[in-house]
Amino acid sequence: MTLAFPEPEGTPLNGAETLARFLFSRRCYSIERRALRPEAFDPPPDLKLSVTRHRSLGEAELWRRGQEVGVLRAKALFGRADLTAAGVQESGPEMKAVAAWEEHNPEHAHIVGWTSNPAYQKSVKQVLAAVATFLPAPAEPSTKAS
Amino acid sequence: MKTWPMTAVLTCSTVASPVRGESHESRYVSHQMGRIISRLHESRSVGIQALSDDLDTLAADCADNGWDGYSARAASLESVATARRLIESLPLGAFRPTLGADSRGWVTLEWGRTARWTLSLSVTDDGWLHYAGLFGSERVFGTVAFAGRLPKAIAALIDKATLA
Repeated sequence: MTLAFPEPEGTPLNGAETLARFLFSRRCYSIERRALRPEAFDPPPDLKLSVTRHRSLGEAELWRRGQEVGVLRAKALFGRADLTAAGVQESGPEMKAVAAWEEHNPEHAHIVGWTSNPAYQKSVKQVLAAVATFLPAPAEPSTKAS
Repeated sequence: MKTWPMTAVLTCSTVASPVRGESHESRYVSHQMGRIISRLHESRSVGIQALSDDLDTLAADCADNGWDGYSARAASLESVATARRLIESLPLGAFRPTLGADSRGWVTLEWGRTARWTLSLSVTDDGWLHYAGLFGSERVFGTVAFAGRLPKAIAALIDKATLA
């Protein structure tokens, strides 16, 4: 059965779906190793890590979303980390990506399943960083439709 | 500089004070060994100073709450101070970690060759080290106390993360 979009909050996402984590600090990426650092996936205190579902958003629209978030937070967009919902599941037995739509952001989703154990969180973040792909933010805001 | 396995480097103290022989050959060996050890100390000082400078830059970059654009806490002074002691406890010839900070405001140190072969440590405000290692399909994680000396378990994991 295919649910209408946006699905109810908490609906697990299909493993093939691609998700983006917007990054606003250069500290999330190791230039030496050309790899994401685990800190790119640091969960907030409520243990619901925000990501954006690609769905039908084109590249330009996806970057625009990230830049809008940056404006709200007064931070320049540094880049984004792309990963699949299946990659999230690989990071831990309880880990999954779920729908968390918001009226102004229907593509919003959460990565959930964390425990409060900092060492375990670190292990999960390592796997997320390993399965994700880093894309640097475009130098100029992208305005063309893709 | 050639980087030695940490377990081998730890034996440098015995090499640094070799039994002094009387022969010309033994004096020559002693002299050459002294030069090597001196270079290692010099290199270590340079390496530690560079890491210490990186730590200062990190503390400045992450001095405000929300530095990551989300809900990160500012880098804590206690964690920065403990991370500096941890860096100073790294043995001669150890691979240099890269530094970061996490959302709790703890300094992180990372060693490794790739994203799938890596060790990461977080230094808490009160002297604990939360670590996680990813070595291909093998995962390890845990917490150890740091009391001024690099814990053996962490030294072994640094070796594993950095040696081919």
